[in-house]
Amino acid sequence: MKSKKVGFILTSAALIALISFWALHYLNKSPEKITPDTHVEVKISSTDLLASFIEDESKANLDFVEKVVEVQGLVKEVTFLNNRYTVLLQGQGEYACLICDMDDDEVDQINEVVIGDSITLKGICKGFLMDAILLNCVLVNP
Amino acid sequence: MKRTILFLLLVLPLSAVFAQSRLIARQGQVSFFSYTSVENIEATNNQAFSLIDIEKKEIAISILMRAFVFKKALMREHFNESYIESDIFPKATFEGNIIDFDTSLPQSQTKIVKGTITLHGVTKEKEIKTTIVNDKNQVVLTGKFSMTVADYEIKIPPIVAGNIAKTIEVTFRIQYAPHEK
Repeated sequence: MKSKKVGFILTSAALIALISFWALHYLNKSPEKITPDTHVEVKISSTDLLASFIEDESKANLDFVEKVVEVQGLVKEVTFLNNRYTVLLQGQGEYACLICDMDDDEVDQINEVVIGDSITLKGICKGFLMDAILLNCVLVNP
Repeated sequence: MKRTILFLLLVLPLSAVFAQSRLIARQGQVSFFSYTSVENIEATNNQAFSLIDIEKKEIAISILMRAFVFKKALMREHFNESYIESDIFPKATFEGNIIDFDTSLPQSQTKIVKGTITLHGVTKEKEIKTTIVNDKNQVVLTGKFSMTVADYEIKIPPIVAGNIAKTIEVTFRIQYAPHEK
């Protein structure tokens, strides 16, 4: 009888600890982080990605938004503004481009990137204003 | 898409002549802060799109709600899915006029921008005090203002009402460069 009670208390304590650990982990989970191993859901060129948004934004939202997208494109500009490094990839026309907000750990690699380079990066697509926006970007095989 | 095109057509240059008086920002910074005794919530968006017509003293800003970055994933999730409903209302916009903006002054000047904010499908008139630094090649707008959550029909469940301030503080810094076209 006594051993049953002890078993029940221990099981309950283990369950409470497990739930607390899960809740703590869930509540304090850090924002999305892309690593070289992160599974890519879509592979596409920057020109095709922008063309998709310009042609049918609602459909492109369903196809790309909140997905990990690997994009290949030509570098239009590299900026450092408001403490953020951003790589702008060219679209088809002169105007719209792909804004890639780079992960903080990518600083060294970004310094190697030159305008006109063909690069591949992956990030989380957030949608389209005048340009398409990708956050948490990391360079692929820099 | 139609709304975006319509919005941008209102502010985008249609000829090279007009283009010279227009400035563009692709990476404006907009942050908001919610202070309560339970927790502080803070998020930043570094991809605000904006155009200013210097001659007409008109300004337009568009922000993608999903591009706000939070410290915790759960905060982002609640913001997009429960409060702002980013699937239904993916963008927030501001359109307005800079009152008494003296474009010939190179130094800093503080002005009122009068216009309308559309957020969560609700449009409200707003006056925002802004500091404008007008340099030869670029214009920088900075400022801070408050927004009442209830004004924009953002529903906060009673169980978490204590975690979210009724009035949130918004700060912005938008750096413009000459329009490319």
